[in-house]
Amino acid sequence: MAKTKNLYRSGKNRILGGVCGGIGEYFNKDPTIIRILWVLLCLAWGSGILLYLLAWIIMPRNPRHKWND
Amino acid sequence: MAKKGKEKPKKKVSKKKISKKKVTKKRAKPLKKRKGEDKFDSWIEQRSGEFAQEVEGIGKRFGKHMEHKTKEWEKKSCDWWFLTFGIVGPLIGSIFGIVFIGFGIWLLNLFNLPLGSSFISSFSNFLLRNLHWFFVIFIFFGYKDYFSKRCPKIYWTISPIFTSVGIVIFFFILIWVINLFNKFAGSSFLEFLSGFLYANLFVIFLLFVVLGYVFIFIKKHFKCHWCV
Repeated sequence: MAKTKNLYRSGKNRILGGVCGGIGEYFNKDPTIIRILWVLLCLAWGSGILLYLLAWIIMPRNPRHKWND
Repeated sequence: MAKKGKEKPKKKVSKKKISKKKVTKKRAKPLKKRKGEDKFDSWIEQRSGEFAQEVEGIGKRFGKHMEHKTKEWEKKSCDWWFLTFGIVGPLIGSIFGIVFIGFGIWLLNLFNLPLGSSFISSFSNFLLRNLHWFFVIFIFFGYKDYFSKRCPKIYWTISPIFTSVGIVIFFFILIWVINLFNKFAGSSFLEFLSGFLYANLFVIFLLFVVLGYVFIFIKKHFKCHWCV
């Protein structure tokens, strides 16, 4: 059975909540590019901010990473 | 005597037994939660708690980061002047100081034109007459800072002397300001105060030198945490 890849928030590569880092790890892309895209999305009437907050709440923490709060 | 007026007929009260059945209001039955609603509630609660915790952590980290960056910037900006200009730095700083005072004198005279205050004109005359002394003071403090950074160990041992000289200069300027103010106020207390301070400038100098060395001794030998 193929292992399903789960979308988690990254604890290693996070600035705020680790959403872009987590998406970057999932798609094996540079999180910086995803952050740039997300910032551009924020310019579209602030939708990026709302989506980020929702993603922050919905996406769980990566259990393999260390989370220092 | 019989009472006048008609008597009101007494009302007959029927003695029907009131049934003692308790009237109970029908309570609305609680809605049965759908399957998974409980799970959703607990999930959203957990997520919201984590979110709030993380936001708090981010706020604290940001605050610490800004504090650290401010301290770093302060240190860099202080050192930048000395690193850029070297030994000539205090001299350049003193020249800038004199230019600034000159500009201040010009501004004071400009504001005093419509006011015509003799206090302001005396103050600006004092600054103009003693401009060379201010230059010497700026050079003194500038090189004091320079040597405190360049030779901190040597400076540390003679720092009480420099600090005491600085304090005496401060008191000297204070005495002059009190005398100037007293010309217009005419207070005997201010006259006494300025005379007392002027007569005891050397004592003040010695006092602060002794205090400075006592402080250094305590700091060196007892390593107290409250000593800066």
